Amino acid sequence: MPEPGYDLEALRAHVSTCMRCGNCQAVCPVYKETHREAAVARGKVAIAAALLNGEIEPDDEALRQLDLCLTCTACVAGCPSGVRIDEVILAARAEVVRRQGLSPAVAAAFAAVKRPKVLRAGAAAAARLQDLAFAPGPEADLGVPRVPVPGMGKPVLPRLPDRPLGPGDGSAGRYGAGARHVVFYAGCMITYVYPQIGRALVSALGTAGVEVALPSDNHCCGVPMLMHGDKDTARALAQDLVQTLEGMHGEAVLTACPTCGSALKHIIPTLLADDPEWAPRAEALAQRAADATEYLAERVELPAASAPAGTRVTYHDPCHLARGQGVRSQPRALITGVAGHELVELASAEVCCGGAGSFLLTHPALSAKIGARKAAEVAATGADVVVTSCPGCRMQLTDSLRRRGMGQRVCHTVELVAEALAAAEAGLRETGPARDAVPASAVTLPTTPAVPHL
Amino acid sequence: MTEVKRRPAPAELDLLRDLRGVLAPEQVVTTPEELVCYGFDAAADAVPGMPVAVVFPRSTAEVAAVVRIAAQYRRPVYTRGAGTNLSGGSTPVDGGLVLCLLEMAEIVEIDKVNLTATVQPGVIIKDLDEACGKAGLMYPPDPGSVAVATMGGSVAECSGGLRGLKYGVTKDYVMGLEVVLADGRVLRSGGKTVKNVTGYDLVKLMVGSEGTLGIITEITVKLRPRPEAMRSMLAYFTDQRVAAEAGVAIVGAGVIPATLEFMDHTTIVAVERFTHVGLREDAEACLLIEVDGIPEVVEREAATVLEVLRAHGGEVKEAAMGAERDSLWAARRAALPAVARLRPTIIVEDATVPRSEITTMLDLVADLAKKHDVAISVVGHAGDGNLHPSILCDKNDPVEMERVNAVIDELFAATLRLGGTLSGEHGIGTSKQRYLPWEIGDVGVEVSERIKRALDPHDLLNPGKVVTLAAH
Repeated sequence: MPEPGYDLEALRAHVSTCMRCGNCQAVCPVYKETHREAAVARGKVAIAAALLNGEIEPDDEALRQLDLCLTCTACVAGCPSGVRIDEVILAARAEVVRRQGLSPAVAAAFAAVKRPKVLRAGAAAAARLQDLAFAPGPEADLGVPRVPVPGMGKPVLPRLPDRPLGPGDGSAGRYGAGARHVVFYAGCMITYVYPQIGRALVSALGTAGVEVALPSDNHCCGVPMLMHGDKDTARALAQDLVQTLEGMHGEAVLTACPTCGSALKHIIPTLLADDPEWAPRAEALAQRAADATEYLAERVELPAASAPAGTRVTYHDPCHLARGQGVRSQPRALITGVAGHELVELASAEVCCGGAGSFLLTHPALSAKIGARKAAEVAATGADVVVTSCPGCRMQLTDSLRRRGMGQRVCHTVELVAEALAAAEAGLRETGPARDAVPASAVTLPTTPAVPHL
Repeated sequence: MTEVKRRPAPAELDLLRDLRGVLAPEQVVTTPEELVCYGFDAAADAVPGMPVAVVFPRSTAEVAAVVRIAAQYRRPVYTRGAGTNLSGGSTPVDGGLVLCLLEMAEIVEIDKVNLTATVQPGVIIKDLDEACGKAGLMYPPDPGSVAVATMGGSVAECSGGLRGLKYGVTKDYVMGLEVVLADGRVLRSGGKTVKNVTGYDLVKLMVGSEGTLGIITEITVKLRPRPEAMRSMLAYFTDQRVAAEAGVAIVGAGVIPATLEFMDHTTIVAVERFTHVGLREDAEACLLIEVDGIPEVVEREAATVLEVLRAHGGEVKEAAMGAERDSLWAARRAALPAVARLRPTIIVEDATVPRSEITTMLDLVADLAKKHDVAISVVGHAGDGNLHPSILCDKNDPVEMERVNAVIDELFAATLRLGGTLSGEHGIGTSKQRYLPWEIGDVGVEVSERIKRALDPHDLLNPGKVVTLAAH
């Protein structure tokens, strides 16, 4: 019988294997800002041990310390003792929630996300009402709160789209025509905040002769709930998602959100590992899962750029893609090969941008400090465009740059690829913005070709 | 729900009130959830503790104010940097205050004319060396934990490191100190001059005093010109004894490498499984060697090293510079925690012998492991006789731990017989306290106690470490 996933008792061996060497201090972005042992992995392990031994209570203060983590997994990658600190932390959060319950506000939010139709209606209402709370931002697709948000000031946030991604009418959406078929699981953020990333992917795949199917409605992968210790809801959503995707026809199930991708590949199989009915089904789905950049770079033939695009681009590695899925070379190959851009590496491309899902909302000041380091590295590259492969990183990077008056374009790898393919098809080449600093308002954003009904 | 939370006793409330009078709220941490993160350091056999509060002073004046308050309430002060100590030197064994110096982390000055750097104690060693590198200089002491350990901690413990053979250890670099004494007064000693014989050498007294004699708040260290060139070599052996002999022979041939590191079979396998740098898992032992300096000299020294290694039957591989070299040394630095994954507990020993006795020491460790049925892996600084036999065990198994303790007793006795020392670079802390008289004798212990009593009569600074005052 396999051990239950994200269970603190089952992870006891990991808690005791940690020799408290402190090597995690060298790589933890939160520790770098706070200098507190509770922030860093071995401190979290000490808190987990204290919870297991009954030395501290499973209360809000314990949760407050356990929440002080980006789940960027830099410590896991750098741990010579092989301690799965990320699993220990998530299990410890779940242990606190199991024993003291979920806070009412979080419980109410999760209840909404659990039901796709409620979420879609909520997102539609938010999109209609956003102008009440948000003033136009430095660009058409950005907004700034009219009233400063406590702890955050005035973040530069994406405007919610008029129309979310996907059919939304209960039908399974099929887009493009081709001999090959894939499923695209967009996830919440791409569906409701950045549908243009999804449309770009469908467009790029269309060029390669791949037909794309989307689930009839967006189903949350459950990771946000797991992050907040609500393992029961996470398991229910994981099962719902497995059931939704396993029946859909396609040689691969693509994701363009690295956290959703990690969910399909690793987190859901771990979460359901002790369930004899669901474990094999989750594992079968994991086998089909691939990040969009992996698929585009390795499994289809895309035309190489015929000429250099003349744009200097830098690339930020999303934590859950680079460390989570080992996908590092593929986005870079697409940027330089297919899109033809010059790639200048960041000094520390794989260090977390500080966004980390809801971390930027729960720890705005800390998130901004971590984001500022990334912005300084971007400035040092002299790049005009910052590319990443994650909607969450895209949001954080945009805010981190705009708040410092930096106008670099921020986009997802698949957007850059789709634009290059469309431009090649149209027989003309995008002329990138001039190398000199261009005011944000002057940068004309290339548009991704529209995909009907998506 | 059971009441497990420790609430401060009334006397502690007064102490905390006074601390909050001199420090900002965020500089005084008292929640049990955070306090449990300061009860340990990196020593598996450290005595754990739970402080009343952790304080984060930001200036020498704030350190002095905290010490005066602690003295008033007669509560101990445990100074802490990154908490990477390997002998229990930083754990709050008797409650009291943990005084964490991570918020005093400024490089005050790098003086290119006098070849010195002046830093606050919270500066990370590697950050200092990198800052020196920009000025064409280097700060050589580099303990395994160089990427996280602090200057204050490494001075208080007199850390060694991989470059000790050629460049010496921390005490060879500290020129001046500012120290807050147990009564809150501030001592300044030493400075930027190479020569200084004014009075007793109080700087040397404080270096390696493990936080028991004073709290170091500013450090001036000697720097060296950064070597222009370096060459890294790796040699595999089918017999660990021959590997050690080859290491000794390199020095015998007139070359003092910057680093001359030894890894046994168990360590090689553990490190390779974690780092995938391409170490040969079938080797019985390997030596990792780096020579550095002026290019012409480096070439000649490297040639000599290669000759000696081949003469001893070593299978030699030269590491390319850049990323390959960096990953090789990163792999070596990961050795202890990589080995730690093999068993629940790893006790890292630090017994050091004269270089001439290193093969004897390796034989002895192997014999002890066999005799007491205990797993011991060996990694270490072969060039300077500072091996780290690491005992792999489970501290929750009392029967096994009895055998482990027997091994440690016999290991120390043999080390001293060979003219060695209990600790090359980790310190005494609590882990090796009971062996202290074996090496320095009753007279040595008494002199140490008198020094401690003279500087800290109420036993407030890191009490229970190195020496224990009976009157406490």
